[in-house]
Amino acid sequence: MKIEEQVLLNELKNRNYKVYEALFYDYYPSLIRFAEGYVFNRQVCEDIVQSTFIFIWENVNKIEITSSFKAYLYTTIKNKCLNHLRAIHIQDKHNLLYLEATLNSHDTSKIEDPEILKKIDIAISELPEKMANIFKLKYLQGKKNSEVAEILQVSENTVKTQLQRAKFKLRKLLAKSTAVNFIL
Amino acid sequence: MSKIKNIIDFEIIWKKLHNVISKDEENILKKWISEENTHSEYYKNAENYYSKGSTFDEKPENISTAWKNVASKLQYKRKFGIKHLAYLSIAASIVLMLALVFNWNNDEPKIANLTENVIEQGEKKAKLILDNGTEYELLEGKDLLIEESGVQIKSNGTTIEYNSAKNESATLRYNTIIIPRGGEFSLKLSDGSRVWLNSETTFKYPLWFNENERKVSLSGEAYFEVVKNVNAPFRVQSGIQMVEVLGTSFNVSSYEEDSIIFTTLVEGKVSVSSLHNPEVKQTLNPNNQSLLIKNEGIINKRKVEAYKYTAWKDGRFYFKDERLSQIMKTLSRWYNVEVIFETQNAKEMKFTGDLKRYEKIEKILSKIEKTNEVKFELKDKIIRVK
Repeated sequence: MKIEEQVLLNELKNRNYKVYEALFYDYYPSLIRFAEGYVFNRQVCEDIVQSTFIFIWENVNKIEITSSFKAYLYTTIKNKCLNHLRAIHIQDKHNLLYLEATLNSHDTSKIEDPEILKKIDIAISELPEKMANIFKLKYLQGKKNSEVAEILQVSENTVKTQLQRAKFKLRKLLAKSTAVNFIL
Repeated sequence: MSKIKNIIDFEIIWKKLHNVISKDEENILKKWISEENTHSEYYKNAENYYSKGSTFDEKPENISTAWKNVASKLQYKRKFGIKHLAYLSIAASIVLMLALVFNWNNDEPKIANLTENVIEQGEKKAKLILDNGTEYELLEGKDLLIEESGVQIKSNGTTIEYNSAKNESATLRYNTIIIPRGGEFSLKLSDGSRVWLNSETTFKYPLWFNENERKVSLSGEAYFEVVKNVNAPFRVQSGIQMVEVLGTSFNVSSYEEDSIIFTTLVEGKVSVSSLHNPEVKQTLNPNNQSLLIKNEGIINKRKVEAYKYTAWKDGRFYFKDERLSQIMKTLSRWYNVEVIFETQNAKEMKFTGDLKRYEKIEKILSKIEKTNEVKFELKDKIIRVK
């Protein structure tokens, strides 16, 4: 574990409230978006993320964090989302929702598997330029379809179809390069 | 058995939302949706999300509301509130105690230099390595005139110049300049751009540039004045960072042992990005500084006085509220000395000052000592901080 991480955890274990608050402000928005990409429901997202933070504060001395605080947060939220989905009879065999969540978090630097991200990056770079631009605006910058359409001066319909094709192409490209069976 | 049956894979929902669903799958989905309210609600939300995108509004007040909600549910908060306050006030008083200013204007050194060992200040010196591996020592007062691949390379001992005789050969040939500890040097590239290189720096550059790109690589610290050419962006690669400019002045500090790469813009505009992830990117305006944090792979940006970061090329050290550990690191590179902190607290002390680079180290240390916060002992090229 990195030294800064260790310092951070020690501060939390000493119940440094300021550090805890700063972490909350730092991570909350991207965690909410991450959860949103799984459950698509604002209230459920907020419950999941907020209860995770409360749990951390109350149980910080019992939590075992071996990799990094970030990885711990994202993995916890992911598992909670999957639990929620299981309760309403949905599974994510192909990591489709995981990818959606990752892209929606706009925080691709913070996801737990940098290898997958790198592969997504490479795959995006292999798309035709127009398609890649649309995809990046939508998923890496979080623009709405209508905004993407305005920025690139194309119709919303074009954006939609291009995104769809982009996802299909990416699926193919990723299938070649990863062991994880992605279906975009 | 029936329980297992009604679990749906999200793939089917995704296919429906993207109009690529088969008849069989459509039937499965329809059945699943009709089974429970939670199912139909999820489907509706997913449909909404895929057509309209994220509904989360990242307004600061929304995040504060969420924080208040979380804070109100914490059981430990009250109990530890007081401890926290105490912690903060101690921290605040430490900061006050450390924020000391030392005066750089006046007089003679009174430092205890116990040995005969004289520490030299830095000087103009460098090692030049040609593409074919030949090495030359560059030193003040020593002239050099050579030719490689039709390019004239000329040095007067303080700077080195490349005059490209229009060599348009496709394969670029590279030279490397290595500045040792205690050295500095400057050069003029074939496009007329000027580069100042600080101590302990390695700089690699082609003898001439391509028509559509001017790319160089750096480890250490350098100040650039790039001649404008909109057709050929000037790119500086240092570690995992790429800086791209068309024509401008900026400073890059990228030492391998430092955890942050600093890029400071004096004028013009530059774009700084991470090689690991081109999406990680900052555009700098004058007096902006980017900080690429290597471990995190992120780039932050802040406002600074650019002068502070480029003073070295004009023969000055300029420290403002700088940690002593950083000051000593800078001094150790220029005076080629080692530094040992015998009290760890001293590392965090902050000092402000504007000093001459071409001055004996004793003078500089004695000025810092005048603040009565630290003592230095100089022996065998080692500075002990007490």
